[in-house]
Amino acid sequence: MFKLIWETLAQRPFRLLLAIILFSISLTIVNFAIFTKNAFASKQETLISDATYFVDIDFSEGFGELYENPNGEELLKQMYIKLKNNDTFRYYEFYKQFLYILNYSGPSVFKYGYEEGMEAEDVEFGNNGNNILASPIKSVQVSNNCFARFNLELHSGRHFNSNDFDYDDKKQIPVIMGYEYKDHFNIGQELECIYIAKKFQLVIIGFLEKDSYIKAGNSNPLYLDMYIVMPSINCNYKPLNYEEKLFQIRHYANKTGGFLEVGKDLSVSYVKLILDNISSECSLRKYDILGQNVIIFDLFAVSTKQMWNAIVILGSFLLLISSIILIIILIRTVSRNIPAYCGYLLSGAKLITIKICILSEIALIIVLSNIISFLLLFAVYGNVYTYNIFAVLISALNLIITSFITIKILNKSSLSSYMGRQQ
Amino acid sequence: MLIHLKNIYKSYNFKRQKINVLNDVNMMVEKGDRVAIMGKSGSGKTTLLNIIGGLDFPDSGQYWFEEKLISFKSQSEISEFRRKKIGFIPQGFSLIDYKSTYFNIALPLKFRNYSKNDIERRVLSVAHELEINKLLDKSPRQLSVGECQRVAIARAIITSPILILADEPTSSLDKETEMVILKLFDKLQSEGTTIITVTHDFEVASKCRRVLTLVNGVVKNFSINS
Repeated sequence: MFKLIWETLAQRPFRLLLAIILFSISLTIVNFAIFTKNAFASKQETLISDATYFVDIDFSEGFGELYENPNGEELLKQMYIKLKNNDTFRYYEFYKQFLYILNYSGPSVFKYGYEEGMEAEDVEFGNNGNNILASPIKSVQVSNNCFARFNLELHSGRHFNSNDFDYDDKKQIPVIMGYEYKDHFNIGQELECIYIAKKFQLVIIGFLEKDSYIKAGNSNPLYLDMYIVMPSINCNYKPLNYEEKLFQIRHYANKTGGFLEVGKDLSVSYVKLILDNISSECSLRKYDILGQNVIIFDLFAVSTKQMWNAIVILGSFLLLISSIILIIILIRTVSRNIPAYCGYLLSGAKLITIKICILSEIALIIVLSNIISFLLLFAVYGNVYTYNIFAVLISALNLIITSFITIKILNKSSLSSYMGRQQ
Repeated sequence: MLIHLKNIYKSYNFKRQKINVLNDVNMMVEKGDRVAIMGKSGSGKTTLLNIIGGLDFPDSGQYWFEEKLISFKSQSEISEFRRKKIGFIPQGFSLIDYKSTYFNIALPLKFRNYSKNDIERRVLSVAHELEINKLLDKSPRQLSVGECQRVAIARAIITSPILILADEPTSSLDKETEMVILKLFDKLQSEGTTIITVTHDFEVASKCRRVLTLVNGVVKNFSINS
């Protein structure tokens, strides 16, 4: 019987292949569209369930012109205070600024650009004729409220306290190291670093828990395992020289380039207006909004949702059409093959064997199409749940309808009446 | 007695109307007999032949073959009956057109699990007898109507059945081919094979010992050929 099934299938391989390809494509489109639509909907739900969203702001283009302003650093300090004390949003200082660690003895893996395959080179800093080698090490600067907001837990040591954020020119700066540092450095160990061209004394006060990360809204999470977490310090003193002034300007430009957490009821344009007002009050250029991870999504949400709905409808329509085409192809094949089936019947085949052959062909096309579609989607998404029950139901319905019609065509009296009505 | 049909009725539904095709058909055929079934188109000739061949089933009535009642309810029994006893030459040949002529002729032997060598020997012998030995590699699509008919006949006789049922075996053939086939039937009959032929052709019917005439599904005459 298997030989007979194979012979039936091999009879028109091109047609069989075409039917499988057509049905697979339709199933894949429908599954893809449904999965994406559902993923979109669930993402939206997640976002809607959050009461707030994050706005990433930046002043990197504006600080250069402050160097020659006698109050340059003061303007930025005012800006910082206004951001910190604003009632409309909550302000988080969180920015990446690598540190040059002097006489660094740890592994290269912590160096800036190492993971990206673009490891920054060590540099020499002059020190009264004795040059010291300094290695650029990944570091983030954070405000104290980041720890609670992003659930940053310690593996060992202590958290920052409010005093750790206040810096006078002489004080050591406490740092918390990422989890991966724990095998290379110790609590209490001191480091010397250059942060924005200014030398600092650091002291390690703890290590973060493994896989600690900061994730503002839908932005990619930043894992801190290989970072030095440094407090975003407040310089509560006037710069005594030009270098110190430049440092404070650049540092406060960083400090004011953090994240705003805004209530969902406020639009980005409204937040931008407030931000512009603050910067204007501080006689500063306007701040840029680098990304508002929710709002961009929201702005396109309606059109995207409609687009996916349209794709689902289109995919379903395509599936319907391909189902009809498949049914027609199979029925036509069966009808065309009736003389051959009669030939088998007259040669001694059982009618049930012929029926099984035909059903096998139908089942093979449908099952194979589903498998191909499933594998395609799995290859793309790596998720077995990409495959939708709707596609399976449509396939099953196809199988039932086609089988019913073809068996109806094939019943014994149809075959015998065929033999009587030829010529 | 080879065949005994008793009170056979058969009807079909056509456009929600019941059409009686066979009405109380009674028929007895002896072993080695040669019978022609005649009648106008639609008189039920092919239906009767299909019932005798186990390809169709009667609504009521009884069918004995070699004194044994045929049960149309069991598919495996009826297909075994067809496989073992019947050689069928249908009107439209019913050849598998995507296979070779050789395959078509050999198929009944394959269903009977003959060895490859036996199949080859028998196919070549029958093909030689029917003068189609040069056509064995060809597909039925490449053959003429007469050649297809010979292939269908070869397929029917390859298993040496005790009953050959032929539906209009010469209707589309030229005179020369018709003569070849009638001679073959003569030979088969002389060897003891029973042949039942549906035909419109009086010349074919004249070769038969008995002629059964059907009119609207009713047997009007079943006489010995004069």
